[in-house]
Amino acid sequence: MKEHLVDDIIKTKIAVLDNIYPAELPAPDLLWEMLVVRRSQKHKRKRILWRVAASLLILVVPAVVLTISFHKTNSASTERFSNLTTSTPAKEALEYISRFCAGNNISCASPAVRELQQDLKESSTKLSEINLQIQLYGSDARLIRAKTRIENHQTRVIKAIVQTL
Amino acid sequence: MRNWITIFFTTLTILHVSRPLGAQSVVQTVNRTTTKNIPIAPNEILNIIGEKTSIILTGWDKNYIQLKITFSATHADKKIALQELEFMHYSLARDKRTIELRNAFIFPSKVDQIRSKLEVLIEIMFPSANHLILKNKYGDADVRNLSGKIDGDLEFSDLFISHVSGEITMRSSYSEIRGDHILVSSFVSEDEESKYRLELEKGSYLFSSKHCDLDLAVNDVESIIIDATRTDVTLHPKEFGSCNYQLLNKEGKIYLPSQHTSAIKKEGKESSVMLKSKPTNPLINIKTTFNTITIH
Repeated sequence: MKEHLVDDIIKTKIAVLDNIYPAELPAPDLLWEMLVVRRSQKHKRKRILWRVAASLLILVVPAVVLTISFHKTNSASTERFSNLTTSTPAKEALEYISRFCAGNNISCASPAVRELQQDLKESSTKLSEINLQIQLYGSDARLIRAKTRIENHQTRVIKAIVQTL
Repeated sequence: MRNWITIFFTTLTILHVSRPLGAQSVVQTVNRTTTKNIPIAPNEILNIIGEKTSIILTGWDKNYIQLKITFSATHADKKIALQELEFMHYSLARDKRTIELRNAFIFPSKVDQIRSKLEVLIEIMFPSANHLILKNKYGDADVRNLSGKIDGDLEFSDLFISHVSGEITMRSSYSEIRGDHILVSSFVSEDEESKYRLELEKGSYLFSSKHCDLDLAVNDVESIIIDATRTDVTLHPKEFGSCNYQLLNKEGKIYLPSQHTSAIKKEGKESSVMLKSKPTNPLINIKTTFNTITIH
């Protein structure tokens, strides 16, 4: 009974509203059509925006990834060359020699060891010269070869010192 | 939307996989070449002073020098390559009896790093009997068909000599000298931290070596004297019995063919060999320390 009453009230209200629909506005059917068209245009704009964003993403992200990896490769190779002054075993050998000779061991004063230490000192000077050249010219193959020769020589000299002590 | 995501990840994958190939970016090389003919009298000297240079010198029977110098700069950006090409120079000067050819790298003061790969190539045709002085640092040289005097001064350089006679004096450090068909009248070398690989056909040889590695094939030489410290010496005579040997090694070892090992004498830390097959045989006199003497 109560539900019927509510229905009647709603129907009465709708009829009243229908009567007061402004005459200057387009017919309700046309209005709906316009709303549907406007809605689809909005969707189209959204779709275009998404497409542009996706295209930018496709172009920019790989470029950034490639640039970062390029820089990493370059700095890794520079780091590799700049760390080639003395290998870890040679460094350990030099530390051993320093510790051994810190106690004024008689072997350290021998002419053979002194000569080898002088040799090492002279080759270090040449190594510094080559490192400066490499800083200027980059990883020039000839300069790298020169550096390798000195380092090989230094390794042999260090070995000779250790064997003599 | 799903399609776009698929395209994005596919592109990323392709770019990632092709990265090693992509890393080989296209490089541009620019060159500048100079060619000259230079008259030279028989008693005149060519003095070449090279730095980071490749030198190819061949003897010929004409009475002038044919010179070709090529400067190259390589970089991905041609503008940079062209700019740095201008940093390479050469000079050619005549002073009394000497013609001096020199190359140099000259940079503006604001330049603290070279971005291109710079190369210098000097190609020379040279009268074979004339006197040549060759100084090279961080470079390499190929010298052939010369019969005049050669003076070499090498630092961190490689040298190949072939079909050379006349007199050779060599000073080298951290260098490698290789050669064949060496028919000199005399060869005098003072070297340190260098490597020699030579095929000696004729002449007298004197090596003063320190921290070196000498590997010599010996044919019809007159004498070989090696006064060395901490140097490995390896000799390959055409026949062991074709030479006389005077070998001394302090703190090091001597190796002979197995049938001659009994000739090695040891006194304390010294090993020595004295072998004279025939008085007319050429003398091989080697002294070294700590390293090894090997006669094959």
